[in-house]
Amino acid sequence: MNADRQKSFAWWMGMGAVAIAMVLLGWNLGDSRDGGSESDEPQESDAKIAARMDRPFGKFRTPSHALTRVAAIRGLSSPAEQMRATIALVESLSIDEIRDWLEGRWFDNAGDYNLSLFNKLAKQRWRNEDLMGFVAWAMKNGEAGAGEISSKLAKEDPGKLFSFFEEHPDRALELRFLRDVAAAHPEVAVARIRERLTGILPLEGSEEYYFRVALGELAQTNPDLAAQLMEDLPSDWARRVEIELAGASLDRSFSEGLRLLMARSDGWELFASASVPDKAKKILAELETLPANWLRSMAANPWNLMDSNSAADWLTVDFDRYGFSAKEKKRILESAIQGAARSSPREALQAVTQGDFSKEERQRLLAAIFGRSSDENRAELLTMLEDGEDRSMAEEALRQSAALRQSANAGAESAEIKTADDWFESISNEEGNLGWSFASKISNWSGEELDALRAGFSKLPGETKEKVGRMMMEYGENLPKEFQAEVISYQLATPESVEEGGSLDMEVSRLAVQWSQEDPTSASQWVNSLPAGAEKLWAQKNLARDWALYDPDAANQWVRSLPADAKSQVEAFLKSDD
Amino acid sequence: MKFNSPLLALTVWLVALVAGFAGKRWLDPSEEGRSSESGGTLSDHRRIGDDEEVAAEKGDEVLATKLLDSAKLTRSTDDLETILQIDPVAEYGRLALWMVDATEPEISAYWQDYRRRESRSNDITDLIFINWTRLDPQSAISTAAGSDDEHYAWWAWACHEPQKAWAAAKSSNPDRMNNVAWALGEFHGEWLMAHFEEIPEENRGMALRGLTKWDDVADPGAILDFLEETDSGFNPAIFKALVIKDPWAAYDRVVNAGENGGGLEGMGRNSANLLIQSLAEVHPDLLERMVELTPPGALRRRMEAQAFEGLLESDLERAANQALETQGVGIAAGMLAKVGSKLVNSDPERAFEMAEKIFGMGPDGILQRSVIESENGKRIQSGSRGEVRSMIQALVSVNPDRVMSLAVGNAGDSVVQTEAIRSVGTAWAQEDLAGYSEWVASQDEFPQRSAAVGPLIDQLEGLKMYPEVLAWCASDPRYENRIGSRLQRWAEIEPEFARSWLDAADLPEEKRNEFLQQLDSNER
Repeated sequence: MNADRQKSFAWWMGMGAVAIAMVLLGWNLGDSRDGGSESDEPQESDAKIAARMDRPFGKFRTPSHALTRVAAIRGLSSPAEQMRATIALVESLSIDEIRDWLEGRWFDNAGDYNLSLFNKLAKQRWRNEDLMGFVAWAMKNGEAGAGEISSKLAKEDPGKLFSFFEEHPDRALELRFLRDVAAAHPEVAVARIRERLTGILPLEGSEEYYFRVALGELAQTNPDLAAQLMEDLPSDWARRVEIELAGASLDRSFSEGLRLLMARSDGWELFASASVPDKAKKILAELETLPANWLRSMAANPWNLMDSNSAADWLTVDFDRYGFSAKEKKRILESAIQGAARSSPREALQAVTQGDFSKEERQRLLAAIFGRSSDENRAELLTMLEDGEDRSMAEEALRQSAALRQSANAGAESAEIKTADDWFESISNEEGNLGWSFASKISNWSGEELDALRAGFSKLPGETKEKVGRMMMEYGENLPKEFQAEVISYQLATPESVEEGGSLDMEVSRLAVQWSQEDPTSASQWVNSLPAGAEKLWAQKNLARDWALYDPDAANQWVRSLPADAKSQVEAFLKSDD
Repeated sequence: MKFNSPLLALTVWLVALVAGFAGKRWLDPSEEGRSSESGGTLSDHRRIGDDEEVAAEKGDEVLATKLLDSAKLTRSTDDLETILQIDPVAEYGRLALWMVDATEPEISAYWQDYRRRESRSNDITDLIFINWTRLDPQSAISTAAGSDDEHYAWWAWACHEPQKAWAAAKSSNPDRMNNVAWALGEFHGEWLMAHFEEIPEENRGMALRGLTKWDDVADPGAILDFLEETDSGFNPAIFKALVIKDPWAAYDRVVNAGENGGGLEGMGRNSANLLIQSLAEVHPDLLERMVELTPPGALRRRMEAQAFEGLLESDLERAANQALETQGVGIAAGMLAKVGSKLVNSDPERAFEMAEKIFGMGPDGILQRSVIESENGKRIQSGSRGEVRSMIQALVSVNPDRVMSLAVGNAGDSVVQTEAIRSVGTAWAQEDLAGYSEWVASQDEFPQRSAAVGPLIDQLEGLKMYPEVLAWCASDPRYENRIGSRLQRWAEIEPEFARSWLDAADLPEEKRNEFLQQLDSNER
């Protein structure tokens, strides 16, 4: 009996111990996030756990009611029934719900046409039942069709469009559609500009372009209104309206517009700035009527009026007839030859051979013609040159352009560079200097690729390192900062590797400042690691000053951590700058 | 009492194991934190004893049942004759419902009519072929064969029967492999990602375009990983979907890109900008919390700037106070300027208060620039960001005299003052050239007159108003050296006027002769 009891006690104790162990095991299993073991992983700090607790899921994470309904649809046996249920789903939702579904992308894409059907039906319902609400959403999301609807509204009901922008202010967008309003309802556009002028100006970026376009449209549709508006605009914008008015007038009737402009003292300036289709061709037909100061202006900046379509026409102008001086004639012809080199090479070449050009000028012009010539017409063009000197200059131009093409296609351009080893191989094969094509290959590298690049650089022979250093001085700003740091550190350690005249001190400071704007901790650590010297001290000064523009406390803390000598010099520098 | 000991022991241990597991899960604060703020997913709702969630789950099921019930009643009342009469684009839903119940000959007949229409929509052609190939792919393919519409049929077939369509295209219609590859990406992304190596090189581009056609994907992170692994670039729309669905995952991607040395350039910059813009749109509350967790640097500054933009719209007073309290000049000037620009019309006094603060900050604040120096000199590292310039421009349109007084009175030493005056002068000259010209003309005793003359000359030169340009150049010793070159430019256009000006100009005889010789030597 005792033995039994003892056995029973021991049995219970054993079972209890195992039970406790199982509770603990269960606890640990519960601790591992996905049921797997994380026992080998380092334990997370309290701070990290707290940070994650502070990370709620997005409010658009698909809610269960949506997941359940989409799953129910996809659970149906045939695609036809799924499509029918998708149609029913769209019908069952309110417009607010449709917005949430679309915005949150709750109906996901999974092996069928249901998502496309859902999206098309949902957007159509929204658009039919709440047009402006849909437009606001569509514009925000860059949806196709939003611009078309707004443009239609601008033409048909601009008041509605402007009310919309009162509720959803978006200056750039409003100015974009102001052109359509100006085209259909110029008086409404002008009233809107007057009403919102102080809120519209000054403009930034694309807004400026859209406002200019709207003013151009206004000048076309209602020049009188546009002219009246000038009184309300700041002087630079009023001038813009004048230019647009000049353009519109020339567009309506070139000769009449020209006559009006010629009567003004600033007529040429307006003409030169106005945008008119085929302006360069049309003005050629009017040369006889132009006043002397217009001809002088044309000759002063002839490329202003030439494009590839009109340049060749200038080659046959009788310059003497219009009173151009020999110097002016030459200047215009040079521009015309350059402009026509590609589109009309024969005519351009003829103008060179017949013109009164010096050897240097001919060399420049022949290089333009032959450098842009095609394989097909090159031989024929050469036969047009009777003068031996011209011919050898043309051949030289051809040789140079072939060499340029070859070097552009060689090295980095032609090689497929995916790894650091590929890149090092390509730079070793390059005989000349490393151009932008080499730098661009690695400009976005990060992670392991970047580590390999840094490690590989340190193993390069000195001569190749110098080549990379020269490339850095020219194109370095766009390379990964860590790689720049590696190369610059090498250059600092071996000053003889830097070409004479290369300002390494500026480069060191430039990297320190640029890097600190992205990652001040890494930048300051790098600066601390540099060998002592003037470059390091200037980098410390510049870094401290620039860092303080953004985060003065952190910058001061770093300055305080510097060795006493550097600290006092940096502090003195900062003080002198106050 | 008789126990079946091994069975009892096993039961107790199992109960203990489950209790331990459940206890930990129940008490785990991180799990609690997630669910309490979560919008909820199916897995989140599997919590024993959570009445609310169970009720919600039941509610979801009721909704799903209702949906399926109403679907049963969703029937088209159209026939081929009536459906041919409608505008299919305007009544897309009506056509779609008819297609669900239509027979293959009916869809074929609809297509025969539709394909002849003058203006066709891709959406409608897609819908026709999707339904047609659902019923009889071979009929759709043979009908479209050889026409410009053949690709629709292959694409639609691959939506329903990807493997068959792929095999058929490979074996008998290699020209159609691109269409099928696109559909594989568009409709069967998971399969495509798992079998990408099997897709011939020349069809991969189309497959990827299909894969990224829609951003409504269940797992945008997986697609972004795949695109990265296959060196297929960064897809902004898919990334934005990730920001929407799981902003922290998107945030981690951006931060990791930075930590891996990619910085915020290239793809890193794209994703950082997208993260910040999208957060501002859909999770503005999260933006501020992410700022707190982000280490100092460019990402944090951009986040702060975006959060500040939101504050400008939602609480201008708080934004103003935040701007006034900010320490770093580089950031504070921009913030103050944004507040100032916002207040110019509604509260100009407060706007001028912001301007006064900026003018007290020196050139780094006024010009918002970054400068590096060395023994070899000084170089501007990054130019103006424009917020201060915009504010000055806006204030100048209200009261230019007052802005100029601020520039003169609050800008510290003469170098800073010069920069400030130039900034204001440029804005004033653009706003009202005549008014600015009068103001400068009245500043005879003004020690910084030269700084004010500069922008005036620049603006006049832009308008090619040479007599005025030369008159102002002659009026200030600092600009006298410009006379020769400007006179020359004028002479190229209007030589007689330029010479007349020179004859009458109040210049020392020596200078006049020098300019005259210059004009003669450049004479045409």
